[in-house]
Amino acid sequence: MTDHHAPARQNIWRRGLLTDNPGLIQLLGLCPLLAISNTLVNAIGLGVATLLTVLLTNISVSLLRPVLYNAIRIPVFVIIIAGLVTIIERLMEAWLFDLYQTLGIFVPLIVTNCLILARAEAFASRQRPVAAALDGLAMGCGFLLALVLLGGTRELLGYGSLLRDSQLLFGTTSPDFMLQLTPEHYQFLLFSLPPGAFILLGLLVAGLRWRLQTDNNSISKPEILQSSPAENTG
Amino acid sequence: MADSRSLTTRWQPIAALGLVAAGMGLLIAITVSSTELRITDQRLAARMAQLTRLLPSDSYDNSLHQDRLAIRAPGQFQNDLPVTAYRARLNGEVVSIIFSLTTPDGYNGNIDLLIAIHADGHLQAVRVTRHQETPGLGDRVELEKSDWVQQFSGLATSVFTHKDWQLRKHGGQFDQLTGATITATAVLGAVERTTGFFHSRRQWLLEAPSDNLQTP
Repeated sequence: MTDHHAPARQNIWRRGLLTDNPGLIQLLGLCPLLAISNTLVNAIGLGVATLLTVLLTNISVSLLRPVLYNAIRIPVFVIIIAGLVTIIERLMEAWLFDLYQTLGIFVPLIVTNCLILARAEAFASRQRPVAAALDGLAMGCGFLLALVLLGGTRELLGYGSLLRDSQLLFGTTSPDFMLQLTPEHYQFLLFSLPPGAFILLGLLVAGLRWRLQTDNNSISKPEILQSSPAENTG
Repeated sequence: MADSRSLTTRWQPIAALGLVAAGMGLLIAITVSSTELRITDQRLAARMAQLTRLLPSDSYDNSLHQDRLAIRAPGQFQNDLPVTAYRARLNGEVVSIIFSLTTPDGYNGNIDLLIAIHADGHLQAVRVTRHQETPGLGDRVELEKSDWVQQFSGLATSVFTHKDWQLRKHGGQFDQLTGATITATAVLGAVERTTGFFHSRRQWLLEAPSDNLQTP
């Protein structure tokens, strides 16, 4: 992706969500992916915060291309990423206080997610703002998708529910969206703990790679379960 | 001419970096100042929600967070982190004191606790507000997960000896938490130290002027 021609939109989405999915294929940002995927609500919260960061970073970096001298390129990226994460952290603490408390240290740690620096360096610093924004959106959605898949599966297997503690995300005045699919006190500890995260991530990575390989050998259009958003915007 | 030209080229990146940093600093400053009030409110509201859950709402008439003592008492608690005491008053008289403290003895790090003690010395409530104990085992110190912390309510602790503050299996007065002896012991230890502190400094706790870091 070192050329200056903007790749086709459909390609950007396909790369972000599937073939270059930051969480499941590039294996970037594994620490938050494993730590914050114990429930679906946590996964969505951190996923959206990361999505916003990579999107805004890509746009800012692309807009600053005229002053991106080689010597200061990396420091500029770091200033932008750290600044944006600080701003997002403040906004979360002000408007999503309970969720912010639950995610804890992982909000400031978005700074260290290599996905964001990687997109700034490999893509946004060489592309126009629109393409960079699209790439940030696609990559952010890819990371969010990985978090949601892992978080949903872990919560389902670990607690037998989906969207528990939904008030953290939608506010205390909202109805409780939690779906309890098993008897009340069901708990499968393994999946709530880090080992479960590793096992399920391994299975997801293997599954996605296997599907992508199979698709490359077939002539028919890919019919992978996560491909619909890519088709809609393409 | 060539000199001044290369000087400009050399200074350009530095100026650009400075401008980017200044711009980002400005953005952060705007965000911080515009969210400050709301964040303070949110923190206070979260604190108040925790505190008011410990005491019957008709037992006091002041706002809890306004009458507080920041206590520094080296050697009294396990660490030198300041312990905060919130005083509940009815018609000006202190009726209860809520201690907010952190014990480092958990199985997986710090456990934050709120301990409410009545002015006459009996324990009113113990709540764990923050911890990283094992889900399914140690996390039963939360009221939402089990009623283990309820056994503290109503205890007259002034007559308790160190031996009483142990789990039953160690010869003490308290129910165990199966599979989470370290967590349970950490909470017991914190409650023991806090009630001990209360009994030895009762007069001071009831009468000291509020706020500021104080040494009894």
